[in-house]
Amino acid sequence: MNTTYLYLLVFAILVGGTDIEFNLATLQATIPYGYYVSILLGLAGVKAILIAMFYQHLKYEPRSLSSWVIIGLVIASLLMSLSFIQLHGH
Amino acid sequence: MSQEIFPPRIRRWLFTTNHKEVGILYLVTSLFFFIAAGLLALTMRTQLSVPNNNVLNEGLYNQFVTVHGLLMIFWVLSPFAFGFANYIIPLQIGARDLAFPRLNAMSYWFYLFSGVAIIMSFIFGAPDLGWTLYSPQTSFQFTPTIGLNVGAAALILITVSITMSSVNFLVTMFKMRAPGMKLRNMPVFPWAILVTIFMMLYAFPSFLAAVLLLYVDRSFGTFYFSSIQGGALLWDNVFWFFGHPEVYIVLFPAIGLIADVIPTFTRRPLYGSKYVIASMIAAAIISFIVWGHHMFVTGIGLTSTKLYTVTTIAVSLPFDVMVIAMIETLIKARIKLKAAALFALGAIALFVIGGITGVYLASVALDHALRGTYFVVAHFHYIMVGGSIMGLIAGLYYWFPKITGRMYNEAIARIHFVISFIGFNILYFPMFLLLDMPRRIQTYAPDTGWGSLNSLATLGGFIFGGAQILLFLNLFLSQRRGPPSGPNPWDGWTLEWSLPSPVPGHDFDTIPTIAEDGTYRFGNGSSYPNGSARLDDSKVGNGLAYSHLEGMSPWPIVMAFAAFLFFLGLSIGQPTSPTPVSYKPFWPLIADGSILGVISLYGYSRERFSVHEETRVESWPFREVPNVKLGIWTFLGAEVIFFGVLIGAYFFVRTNSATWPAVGELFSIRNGFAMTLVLLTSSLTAIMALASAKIGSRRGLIAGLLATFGLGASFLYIKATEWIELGTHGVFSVANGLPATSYFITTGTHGVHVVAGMCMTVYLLANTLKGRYTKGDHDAIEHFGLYWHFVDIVWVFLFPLFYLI
Repeated sequence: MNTTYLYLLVFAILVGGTDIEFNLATLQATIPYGYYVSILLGLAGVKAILIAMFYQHLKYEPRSLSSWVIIGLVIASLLMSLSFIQLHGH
Repeated sequence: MSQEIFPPRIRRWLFTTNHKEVGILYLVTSLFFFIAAGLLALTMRTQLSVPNNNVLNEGLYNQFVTVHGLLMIFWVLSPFAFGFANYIIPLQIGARDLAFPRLNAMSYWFYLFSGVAIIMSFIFGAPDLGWTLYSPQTSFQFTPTIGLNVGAAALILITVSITMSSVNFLVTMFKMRAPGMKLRNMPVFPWAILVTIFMMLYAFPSFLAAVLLLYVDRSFGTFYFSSIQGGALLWDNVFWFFGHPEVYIVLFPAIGLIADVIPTFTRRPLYGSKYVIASMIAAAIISFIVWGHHMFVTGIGLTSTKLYTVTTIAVSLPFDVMVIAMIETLIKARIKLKAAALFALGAIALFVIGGITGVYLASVALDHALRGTYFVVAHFHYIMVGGSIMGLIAGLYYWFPKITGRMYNEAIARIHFVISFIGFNILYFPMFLLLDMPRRIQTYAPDTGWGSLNSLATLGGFIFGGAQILLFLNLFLSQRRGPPSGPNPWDGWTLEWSLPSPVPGHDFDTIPTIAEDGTYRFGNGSSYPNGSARLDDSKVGNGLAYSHLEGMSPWPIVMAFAAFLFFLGLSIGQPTSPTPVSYKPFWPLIADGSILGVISLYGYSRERFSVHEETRVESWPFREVPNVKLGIWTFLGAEVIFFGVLIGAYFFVRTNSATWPAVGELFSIRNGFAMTLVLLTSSLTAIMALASAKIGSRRGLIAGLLATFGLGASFLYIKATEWIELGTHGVFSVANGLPATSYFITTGTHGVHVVAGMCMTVYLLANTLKGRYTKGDHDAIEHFGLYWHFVDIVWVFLFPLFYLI
């Protein structure tokens, strides 16, 4: 696929995803809060992955580089997860 | 900027970017801070030598305790080690220099000015609550002096320095190893530095985020850490997430150094060196999941307590492997007891005592009893001074001949060791017995029974401190008058010993090549036993010349000074009211710093300072990734942690709060939606700018960059409107609640990133108008895009977090 079309397609998906998030807010009362938050964060995650893969070209970089980025994400997630375990224990 | 206004000798040290000279600057400066922190400690010991003493009043004593701890941990231990790393690592791995020499110089100057700031904090009432800076003691209610603001600014500056250094070393060690210097062939010292940098890269952004939140709390009246919705526990979590890896960050370089020194003086390879390296990696990974053991008494819950007990005991196991490997190396060895070897052996012995007493503290029951007592003080000083400082002094004696080209006086050095070792144990061992004496008390009553042990410890302190005079005198006189050392006085086996002493400015005449099996040998007939990397002189010098640059640049020091002025101005303002919740900044200094910062950024970007990227070197696993791109991705990895902590802090206080504004109640969803669309569109224009540059379309590139700039400005406009609206309508101020605090800080930090990105577009546009980037030289556009898209990704998460849930 021509790269310009690819970038436009990714952009269209990103805008579409944002639109879903926006409209989801109006339905908040009808969705269990846990599901609501999970869907929103899931959508944000998908958008972030699309940007990283196509706009930052991680999809085309050596696997060592993408692993490098993932290590950072894992450590940040670890901090948040363990803090939450403590919070619940508390 | 004209460099000619300074005499050549001064200019050399102010503007150098050579890794060896920067290394010497680090070493000398860290030793200066070592003396300063040591004098604070001796004054404290004098105060505690007898009951009811009054050499220092309570306030001053607390300031001394705090600044002593901060100085030793941030401004002595790591910089001391990184002085060696700067000088030695490029030589040991056969690199030309560090990957980014100017960035390296800038790291040093940020370090120096941050140290000046922490010492200057005494003028304003230095931090006085211990190096852990626990909340809520850091709030204005309990610490109304602005010395803490200055101290926090110093911590921000040194964290910036460390992050720059981490990126630089990682790229160097991954991408610039000499041909044949596979990762598996690297000596243990570079491995220790590599593992250390990995920990620094992921631990320090957490600390930076924590100190930034603290700084904003104190400067703008927000109250993340003083809130009753888990503020204190939040600080504990974020601080110790950094704090425990920090222990290994200051320890590993010394262990790696000892692992290089012992084989040299025993003439035997390090026993199980591969396992030692594997143990370091294991300890580094586990170090990120043990921080809760510093919080056993905070009521973190049984599940967490059990988890952290297990991980804390687990993290001690890799260290057992390291110590056993060193002991095995020593068994039946005919060790030459030179000063470097003596200090290395002493460090191992003291580290074992410190390590074993640390395992006691992994037990919840013992931790409850011993926490906050002098037992803990003894434990960590056996690790930090016994293991780390003693190990680093071993390095000082080991590499002194290489750095200066002269030998020190061996007899005085051995006496130095004996007195230091005895003095150290007289100083710290009594503290193990003072296990009912609280730390950080300024004095005590005679009937406590602590007097005699404290007197003994003080005597030990003066013996230990006095012994260091021998070190400084010996080295100072020897670097002027010592006999020439020759290139390899110890018959060392690592690559730096193949070079003349002192090492010439350009390091290697030709690119060294390491044989396929990792062996190398010296021309003087000494050979290395099986199992470790060696140099074959027939393989050294393959005729390929390194293009070494003897570059000097004035901008690193100017930029660091600008940052120093800026943060000082932010920190030393006047109270806004008699009972301050915040301070008005001192605008003249801020203006000076800002103007100087802009000038230095301009000068830095305009300066002709090209660094040639070698293509014939070992660069697994990033062979196909250019140095700058790897550096940017590494920096973005640190940014992930930084924003991860900011978002984690938001989650933490939010889930701890009983109430929170409903969706759409405070923040307009439409505003958030609009800003998201604007930023997403800017990502599209940024990538289209790159696509245009790649096909040589100057017009397309200019349009893409202009659009990106315009969309960034639009984003900031909407954001500013939202901020002003929220402020003027009195909906809340930053001091009004955690929703406001978390919103303003998180979106504000993101906004600063947007502004930085817009400045980059201006720079790129200016260069594009001069005809750059469209002739196959579009790397800068790609690198900008990596940053800009990251900023976009952060907003992708902030939008739902603040506007939709």
